[in-house]
Amino acid sequence: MDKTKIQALLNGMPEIISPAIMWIIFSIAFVVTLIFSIAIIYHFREYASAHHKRLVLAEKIFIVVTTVILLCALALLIIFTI
Amino acid sequence: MILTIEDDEVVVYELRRHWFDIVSVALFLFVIATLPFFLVMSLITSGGVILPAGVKIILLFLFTIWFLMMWIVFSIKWTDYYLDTWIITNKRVIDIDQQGLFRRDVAAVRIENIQDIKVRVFGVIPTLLKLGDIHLQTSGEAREFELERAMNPEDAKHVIQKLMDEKANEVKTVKMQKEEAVI
Repeated sequence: MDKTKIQALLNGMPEIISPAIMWIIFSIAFVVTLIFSIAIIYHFREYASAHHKRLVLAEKIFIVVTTVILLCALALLIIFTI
Repeated sequence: MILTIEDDEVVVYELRRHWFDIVSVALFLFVIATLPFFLVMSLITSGGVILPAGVKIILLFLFTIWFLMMWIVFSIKWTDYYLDTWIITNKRVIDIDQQGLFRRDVAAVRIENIQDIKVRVFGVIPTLLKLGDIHLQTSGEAREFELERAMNPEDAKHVIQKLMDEKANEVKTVKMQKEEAVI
């Protein structure tokens, strides 16, 4: 793909990706994240026995990192919508 | 399916997959996650493409969502990696085989039913990092136990071999005592 085509794609982006589409993308990502987060945290808690000691720490790291990334995406979305 | 250890059972060794396995997955996912960002950045810095107003935020938003998805994939991979383990006790070898998030096989074999242990270390990096596959051949119809890309498989082999020898001596002693009692 040459640079003129990429430039044309970038120029047309604000018309194609409206705030409504970005909210839909965010909602889908949020739901997918929520489903997998529940499954992952379920595993971490279920098997956090004496043989899997790091799962408690892993759960905390997972929650913090996921929340930070989601909040960053939400902040960008709000800035774009305003 | 939570693992239960009997009261008189002692955990002797825990065998896990090698950290190199998850580090290589993490590096690969990190490259995939950051690739679109660096691709766009290289196009801008090379001078051929100009970002129109508003596109910057859209791209940053899309990169963030992409990064989030890669983070979720990594978390699933890490869970799979961490829960895949062998627990060697003084009585049994318990093989916990985690496959993705929704499939988990737990099987155990008693030390006296182990017939053969095979360790396979292949390649330069595995040899340097002590990374290899370990197989347990069991008697009867029990399935073959296998842990791929394990950490220090030779150590685990020695531990199991020692337990097998102890068990064999125990059986021998009991047999001799029985024979003496009969005489």
